[in-house]
Amino acid sequence: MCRMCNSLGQGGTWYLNPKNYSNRMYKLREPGKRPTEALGNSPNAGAGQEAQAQTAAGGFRMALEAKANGDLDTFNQIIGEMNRRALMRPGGQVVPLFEVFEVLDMGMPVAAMMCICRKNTRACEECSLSEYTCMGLGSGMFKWERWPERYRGGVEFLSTKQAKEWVEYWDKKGMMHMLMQEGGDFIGGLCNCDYPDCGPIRQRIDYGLYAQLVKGEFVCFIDWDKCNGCGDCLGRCHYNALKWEATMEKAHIDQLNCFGCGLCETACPRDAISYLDRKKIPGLANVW
Amino acid sequence: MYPVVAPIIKIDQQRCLTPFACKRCIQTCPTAVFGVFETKMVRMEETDKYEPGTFRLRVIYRDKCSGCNQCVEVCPEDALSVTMPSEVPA
Repeated sequence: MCRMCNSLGQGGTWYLNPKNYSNRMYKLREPGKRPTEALGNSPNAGAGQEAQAQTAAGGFRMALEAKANGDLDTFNQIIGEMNRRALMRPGGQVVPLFEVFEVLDMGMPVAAMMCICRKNTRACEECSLSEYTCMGLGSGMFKWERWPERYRGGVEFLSTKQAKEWVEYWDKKGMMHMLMQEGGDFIGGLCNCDYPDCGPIRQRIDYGLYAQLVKGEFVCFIDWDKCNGCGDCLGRCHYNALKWEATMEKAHIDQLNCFGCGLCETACPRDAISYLDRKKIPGLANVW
Repeated sequence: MYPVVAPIIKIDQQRCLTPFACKRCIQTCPTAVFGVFETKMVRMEETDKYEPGTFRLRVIYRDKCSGCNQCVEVCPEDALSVTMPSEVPA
C-alpha cells in the first residue's frame, strides 16, 4: 500500500475518502512553498546551475540536456536524485472511469478548463466545454479569475451530472484520467490526458520520474474466453501495455506496463476486460 | 542504453516572435520536442498571443529530436535550425 493510502485512506483508497475533499486539505501545504514548479517556467530560469538544480523543473531540464548530449551518467544521477526527493510527494495518480464517477460524487466544485500541459507542449487553445480537457476540483477553483493567463480560454463550472457526462465524452475519445495532487496531500484536479502532450505521462514513461504519475489501484485483465479479437481496444493504451497477439487473434495486456486506466475496458463491447486489484497480486502489489 | 547525441536545435528569438499564435513547429514535430511559455504572467490579465515577445518558444525534450527537419521546413520566419553536433563524444 502506498503512503497516500496509509496516511489518508483510513483503511481504503485515499481518493475515495470524502475527508480528503475538504477545504482543510488546502491548508496542509507548506507555507510559502510551491509544491511543483511549472515545467520550464521557473523563476530561477536564468540563475546559476546550482540554484537551477534546486528546483524540480531546473533539475529536470539539466537532466534532459545531459541526455541530449549523450551524458547518460549525469542524466541517471539527476533522475535518481529527483526520484528520491519526490518519493513522498506524488504528482498524480491514474484513476479508472468508474472510480472517477465516485470521485465526482464527493468533490465540489467542479470546473472544466483548458489543459496547461497541452497549452505548453502543443500550443492548444481550448475555449469551450467540448474542448476543455482538464478539471479543477475543490474550493481552490473559486479563485481562478485572478489568473486568466493560467486559465486561458475561461472556466466552466459543472454540476455533478454534467461533469460525469463530460468525463465520459473524453473517455470515449480515448483520454485516460488522472487525479492531480501536484505534490501535496490534496486533490487539485482531474485531468483527461494522452501521450505525448501530457507532462506527467511523458516524465514517467520517457524519463522514469516515478512520482510524477503513480499507477492506478487496478490492473486490467483480458478474459480470452470472451475476447473475440475485434480489436476495438487497440490503440487506446497510452502506456505500451496493450498489444495485438496476431497468432492467437486476441488482445494482450502486459501487466507490468499496465497503469490500470481502464481505457481498454471501457472500449470493449463484450466485457472481456476486467479490473484486478493491484494490492492483491503479489508481484504487482509494490509496482506503482 | 547506448549514448546517443541529439541534434542541436537553435531558435532565433528575434525572428520567432509570436510562437503561440503561429504554432506550426509545435504541432508539426513528430516527437513533440517544443514547448511554448508565456514570458510573464500578469495578474487579472490574459496575455495577447499576437503581441510580439509575450510567448517564447523553447526546446524541452531535445533528447527526443530525430533531426527530421520538419520544423525547419514549416517555419514561416526561418527562425529554426537543426544541426547534428560535429563532434560526437565517446
